[in-house]
Amino acid sequence: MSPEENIEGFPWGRIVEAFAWASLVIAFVIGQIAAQTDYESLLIKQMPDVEFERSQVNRELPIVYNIKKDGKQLPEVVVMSEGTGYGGPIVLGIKAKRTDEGASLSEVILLSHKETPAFMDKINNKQFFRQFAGESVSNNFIVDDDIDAVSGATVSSKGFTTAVRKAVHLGAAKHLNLDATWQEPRWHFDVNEIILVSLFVLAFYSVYRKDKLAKYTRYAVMIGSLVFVGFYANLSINLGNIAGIFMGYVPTPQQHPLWWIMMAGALGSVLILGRNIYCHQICPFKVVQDLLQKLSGIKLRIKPEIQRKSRMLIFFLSWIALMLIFLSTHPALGSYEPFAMMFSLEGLGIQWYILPAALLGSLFVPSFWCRMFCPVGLYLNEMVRLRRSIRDRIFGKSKSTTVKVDLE
Amino acid sequence: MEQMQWFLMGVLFTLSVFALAWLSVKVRLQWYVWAGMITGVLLILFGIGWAGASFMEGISQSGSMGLIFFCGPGIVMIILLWRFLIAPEFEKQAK
Repeated sequence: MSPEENIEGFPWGRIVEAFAWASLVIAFVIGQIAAQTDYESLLIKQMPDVEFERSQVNRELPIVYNIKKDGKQLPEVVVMSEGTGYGGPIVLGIKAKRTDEGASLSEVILLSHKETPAFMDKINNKQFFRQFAGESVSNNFIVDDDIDAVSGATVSSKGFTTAVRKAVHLGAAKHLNLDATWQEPRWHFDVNEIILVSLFVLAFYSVYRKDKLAKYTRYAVMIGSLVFVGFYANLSINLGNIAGIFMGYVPTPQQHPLWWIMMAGALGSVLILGRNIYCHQICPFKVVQDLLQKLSGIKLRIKPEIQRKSRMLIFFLSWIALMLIFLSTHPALGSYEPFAMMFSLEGLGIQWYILPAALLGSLFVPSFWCRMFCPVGLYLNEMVRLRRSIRDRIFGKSKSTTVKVDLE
Repeated sequence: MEQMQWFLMGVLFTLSVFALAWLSVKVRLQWYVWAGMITGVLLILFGIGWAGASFMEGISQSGSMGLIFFCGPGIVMIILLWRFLIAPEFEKQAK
């Protein structure tokens, strides 16, 4: 029986929990219904001075709209395209016109996206979409081949380029009956992917071995995760990433292989090994907190009662964040973690208030952010607990059941 | 609001002077420790002032950076001085 039941004689805790779950499910459903894409209204919003009529000639995908101005049909059409960016689905309108060789692109218009505003600022400032103008539909449209990615927004650049490529090549093959002379992007395992896999392998080693080498490995992983996962790749897992998985906002392995390695490593270690490797070893913000803690040497103890209450605070904060994310179908809107600010100086309003509090707090309290505010850590630890209880039910209670999962 | 900020800065400055005065009565320190402590206190006060003004103007990024780059080093400086120079001096003079 929970404390709430003892005090009040009424299961308030369970009612609040049920309300939280039910409201999240409702918010998810409402968000998904409201997010149904209406191409025509998106196009009218962007180009209010012309009319759009769905092409009756090109009935197959991709969807094509004819453009009319003052009753006259313009030579250009708009080819609709959907894809996945860093934050979620994107919708593009690709203006194209026929040429002697087939067709060429005149403009790529971003109609809808869920990208983090800071990344979109970079895309817009560098005028990323301008490089598509005048290109033939038979081009490859591959990043680092004939398209330049925007530095610091590579995943978004790849997402936009993939969306353009798929729609344009499909249209070229089906509507224009062109031969496929273009190349398909090849998946290659880059040095970045090797580094991240190595970090996880070393992290596993340092967790399961107790020798001196494991100790040094642990330091190496700490430095590696701070430099690579934090400052170089800015790959910290946040609540938006987890919520994005539930909403189906998953980048392709070609587009963002590091995301797949990170998720496989973090969730795989929990599900398969029953250990929260990510929080303890890979999270770069944990490393920053540990370094600040070492520097100050002050270890203020948090009372167990406050620790328990902070757990409820994290659940409450993450509930608000998830409600926002599910209703807006925009993962970046609800993530309140200060990781992106810390490692790439990009963030929105409230996140800037949180970062100094988290850093200054960790000077005095070990793993201050992890214990008091981090939703990812809490959920990963809860997953570890859940896995353990399921295992115990199936195989019986083992002696190692009381393994510590807190972040001390 | 601006007047309130100046008032609060004045209160914080006065408290800091009191704290340093208390320290000077309790323990005898080298000049460089005092220089470090005063620099640390001034950095913290400057960071708070910077952050307060930035947050009031709605530029939260600047406020956050102010706290991290001014208050952070200020606090670290004071903590390190306390750990390695002031606390041992307290113990030595107590004996």
